[in-house]
Amino acid sequence: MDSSAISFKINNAGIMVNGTFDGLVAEINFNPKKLKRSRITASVEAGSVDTGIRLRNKHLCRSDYFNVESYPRIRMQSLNFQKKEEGQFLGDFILSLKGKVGKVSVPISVQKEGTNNILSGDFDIDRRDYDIGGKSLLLADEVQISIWIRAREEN
Amino acid sequence: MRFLKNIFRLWRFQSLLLIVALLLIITAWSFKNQWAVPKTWDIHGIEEAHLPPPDSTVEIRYAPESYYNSLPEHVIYKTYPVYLNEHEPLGYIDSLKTLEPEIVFNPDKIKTKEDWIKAGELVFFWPVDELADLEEVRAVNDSSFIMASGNPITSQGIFPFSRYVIKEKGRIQEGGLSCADCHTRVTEKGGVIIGAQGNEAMDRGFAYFVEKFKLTEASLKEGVYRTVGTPWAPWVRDSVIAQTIAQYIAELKSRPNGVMARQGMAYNLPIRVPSLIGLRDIKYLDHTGLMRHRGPADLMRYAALNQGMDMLTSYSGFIPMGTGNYSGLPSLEEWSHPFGYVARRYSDAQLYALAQYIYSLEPPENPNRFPKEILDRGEQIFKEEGCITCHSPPLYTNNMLTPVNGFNPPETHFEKYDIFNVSAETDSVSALYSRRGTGYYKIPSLLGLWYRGPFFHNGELATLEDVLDPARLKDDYVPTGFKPANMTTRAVKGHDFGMELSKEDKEALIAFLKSL
Repeated sequence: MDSSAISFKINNAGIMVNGTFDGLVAEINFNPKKLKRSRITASVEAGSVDTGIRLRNKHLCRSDYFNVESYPRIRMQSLNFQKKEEGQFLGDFILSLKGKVGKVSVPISVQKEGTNNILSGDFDIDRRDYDIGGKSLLLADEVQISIWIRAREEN
Repeated sequence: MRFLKNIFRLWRFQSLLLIVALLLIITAWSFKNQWAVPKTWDIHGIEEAHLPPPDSTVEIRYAPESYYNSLPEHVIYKTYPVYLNEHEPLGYIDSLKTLEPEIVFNPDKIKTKEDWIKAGELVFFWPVDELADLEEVRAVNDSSFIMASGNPITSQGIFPFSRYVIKEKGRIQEGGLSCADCHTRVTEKGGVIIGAQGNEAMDRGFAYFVEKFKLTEASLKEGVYRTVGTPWAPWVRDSVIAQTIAQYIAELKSRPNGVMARQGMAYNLPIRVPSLIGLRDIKYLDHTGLMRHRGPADLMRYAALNQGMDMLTSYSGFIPMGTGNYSGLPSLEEWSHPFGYVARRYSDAQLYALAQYIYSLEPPENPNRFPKEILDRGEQIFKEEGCITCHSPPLYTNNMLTPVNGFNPPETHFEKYDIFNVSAETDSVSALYSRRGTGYYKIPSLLGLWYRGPFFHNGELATLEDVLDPARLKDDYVPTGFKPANMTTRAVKGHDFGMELSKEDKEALIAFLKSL
């Protein structure tokens, strides 16, 4: 793995709030020709959440949001992949977030860049499914998550 | 047949009578209960509303009901404005001397909501301290006092924080410590905003008296300790004993208008006077969210506590106004409140009226006119910077409590109270080491910011510009509002939102805030 960007967007009071996570640890065994054998597991550090406002980041680490003390990492683990078209796949993943487990389908695009592969994908989750933040008139339930990973190809 | 018909008629008539009678009873009952005045000193009710101190081992006991009931009630007379000597209309005092005493609060005459509000206004302005005779007042009620203390007066030359009282014909007395004393703001133009964050220079005024009348060190220290003594901050006692009278006077003089001593405050850390306008929608009372506010009964209890009774609460055996080394409840004769509150209580009807009056307070018309595009930009920044999450419209507060640095809310609090679980990292001393401490600060409403200030819990910052000035976070900062006398510089930390905005964006944000 060379570099990565794990980010999210959520509407708060009509404004899109952008945030990122750091500390990605990923094991990528992805071969477009051997999808059945392909596996991706990845996790980020929940406490690295950064929305550009220091005290908001601190709040997001607390029990009403990510509860990083009890759940320090957010994990994704692949279940299966399907090929959609050239360079386009659909992967089902188990997302483990704040002690809750959900299945998410992620459209994955794979692009070659020299000896690297760039894997990227966007998907949505409902934050309430993972007990992130309570009921809110201001904060949307839907969170858009974007993953971008540049990985070295290894044979 | 005819017999049966008559019986049927009679039965119908009786049914009708019964229905009419029932309707009458229901109407009378509902009318009576429309103004069901809650019982103020209901210990269970007080316990329910009161938040515990941050030290969970402290046992709180309120003065017993029998003691509360043994206090005589306030009798509320008509009151009159106090002018500075230089501004007093010719013959004013002579005309007051001809007036008969007039008891104006009479619960039997209250019928409508408007009556309650009007009656509450009387309570709001009623002085509850030991009244001073006219001669004593006129000896100091002049420009030299105003100049020395920095007190504002109205455009008519009225000192609006006290009132004249006539309890006997020909004897004029002056009194203060009414609700209006702290919650009256004199505007730059000399107008008055009732219920706002007041701007009397209470503590600098007191410093003037301490110096002028050479109050004794022993009595002052006793008063200070009763005001700030906190059993879970045992070092406070040593600090009070060690402080010289000169240091104490310097502390009093360090407090800007709108920031003042209050019983139960932290040592040498006065509190910003809160605005009461809009209080009806606010879920917690006091900076520290000391009491829940679910309706008039809670507000009545809060007022009773604040206007005397909280000095008789036992904090693990320490009674601030207690006799015999702060342990026993004083008799009426022994009652000795450091601020001079008399040994009386409000009646339940008076407190209910007061609550209705406070709920009726409306903000003054906002004179600020900003271009729409500036306000729109300001509102956008308000959202982008995340202000909106805690200061959510329409109240511009989410009505929640934030734990201060150094306090971890116990699990049970999350179900019981409304907790926004992150500290704004402002000075935590008032929330931790004072009798009003709960471990939390209430997220304040931003409505009416344009007629408020200074800002922050201890009033450290004079203006909104100062709140957004990153220089305040550094140790070499000279606070523009309250600064302890023994410090030349002091960082005003915490709530570091909007620090990095451009000049234009800051101006737009401040314009938006001043439009609320």
